Amino acid sequence: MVYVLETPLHEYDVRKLSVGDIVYLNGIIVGMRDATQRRIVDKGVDPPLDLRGHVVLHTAPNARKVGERWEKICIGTTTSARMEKYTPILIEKYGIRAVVGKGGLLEKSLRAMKEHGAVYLAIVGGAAALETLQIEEIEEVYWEDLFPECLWVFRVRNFGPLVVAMDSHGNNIYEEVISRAKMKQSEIVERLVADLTTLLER
Amino acid sequence: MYDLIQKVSGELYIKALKNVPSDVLAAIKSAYENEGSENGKMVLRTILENIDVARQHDMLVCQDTGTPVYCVMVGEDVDLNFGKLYKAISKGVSEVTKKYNLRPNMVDPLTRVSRGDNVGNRVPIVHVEYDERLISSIRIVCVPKGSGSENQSFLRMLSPAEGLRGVVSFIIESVITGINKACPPVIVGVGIGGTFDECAWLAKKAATMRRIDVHHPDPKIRVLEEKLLKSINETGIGPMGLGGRITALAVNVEVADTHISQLPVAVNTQCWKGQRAEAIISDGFEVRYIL
Repeated sequence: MVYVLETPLHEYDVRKLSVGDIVYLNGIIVGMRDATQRRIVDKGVDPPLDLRGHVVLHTAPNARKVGERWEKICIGTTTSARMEKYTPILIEKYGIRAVVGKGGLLEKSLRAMKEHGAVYLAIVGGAAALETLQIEEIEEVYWEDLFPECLWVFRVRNFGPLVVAMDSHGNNIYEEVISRAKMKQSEIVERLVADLTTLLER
Repeated sequence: MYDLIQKVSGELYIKALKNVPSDVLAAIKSAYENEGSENGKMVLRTILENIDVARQHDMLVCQDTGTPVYCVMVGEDVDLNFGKLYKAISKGVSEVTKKYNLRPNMVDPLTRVSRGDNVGNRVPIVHVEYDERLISSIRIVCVPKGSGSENQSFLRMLSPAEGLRGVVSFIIESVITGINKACPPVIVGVGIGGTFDECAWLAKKAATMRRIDVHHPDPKIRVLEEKLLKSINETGIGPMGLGGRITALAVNVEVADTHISQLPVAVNTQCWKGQRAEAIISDGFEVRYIL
């Protein structure tokens, strides 16, 4: 299924999504990553805006400040794995409904998504030129001292395609793909050894 | 000559960020043709669209402006002062970072404080190597190394007793562990032999500095590259780790002799855009870019 969703999201918006669905977003999304989330979770500083219902994008943009305004240069998405430590807290305590990232998150985040109603949306990593055009404007920037890892508020239009890779029903595409690969691992290695042994004999 | 090196080094940095090398683009197009899964096809279509959009709008392909890594290869008749060379490359990186407002990535590893211009303590990373084919020319390769793929790097000091099985088993295990976070389909670089540091550099060079449309000249390493690629693409990890046929665009292997009691193996990955740009400076003044 393909969904076009308006942000901020409600619980029913995300509960209807299943892994493999495609999503496009319109509205506001909030950019943050390592340093931003360290400040919120490790330092215990509440974010300067209410995150309830918001979509979090794992990003640190190329941007420049002209007068009081921030201009986008290139905005793309980083690997989410480093944010595994913080995501369950952002879901439980601050009520975010979706994370947009690449490479996926782990068990604790998946559990929080199931319990509280949130999803992980996989973007195509590295496709930042496209992403930059889908971001209409940088609306607000908080915590500029953390540049480029500030807390960014973007207005987006047709932001996607995003694949629902972890849903609120306990499914995780990455986990499924990796466990299938692990099942094939020894067979792949044995075949390689058989194919190559004669080649490398001296 | 050092002014020219400074200019070329800066140019290479921005060119590597805006352009996808021709060999890599050809591999992505062929991956799109050969991918079977719906998710994988969608990912590769988006990647190709992104490359077009970046070209049309003169934008960066990806937001990660990387760690600036350079390899300077020199011929026998080139007189080069390393101090002046290093300063020239460093200035080139700093200037271009400011000129294009590139994201400053480089920070102190412990305090996480940034200098703001992508140069600093031992950055840029500059390797100098001798290449007998160059005679009186200098070849500069610039790789702004993105972190998503760099974080998926693995090295193990195997025992010689583990042999070929140990080597391929470690490579496949590394791929399955981490490749889904490195923006697949990736280029897998493998280093075999050398010492701890040399092995890591071989893997980096294989993943990032060598074209992916040429195999290693040693026929047995060529077969190793072909078989590894086939095997990695049997894991089913697929584009962006969402499942599919094409997990790697290429596997490049580099080897060096090692100690009788060692068998180091390293794996370094490069994301799908294979960001790399190179130039040849002939006779100290004539510049030719290879993109």
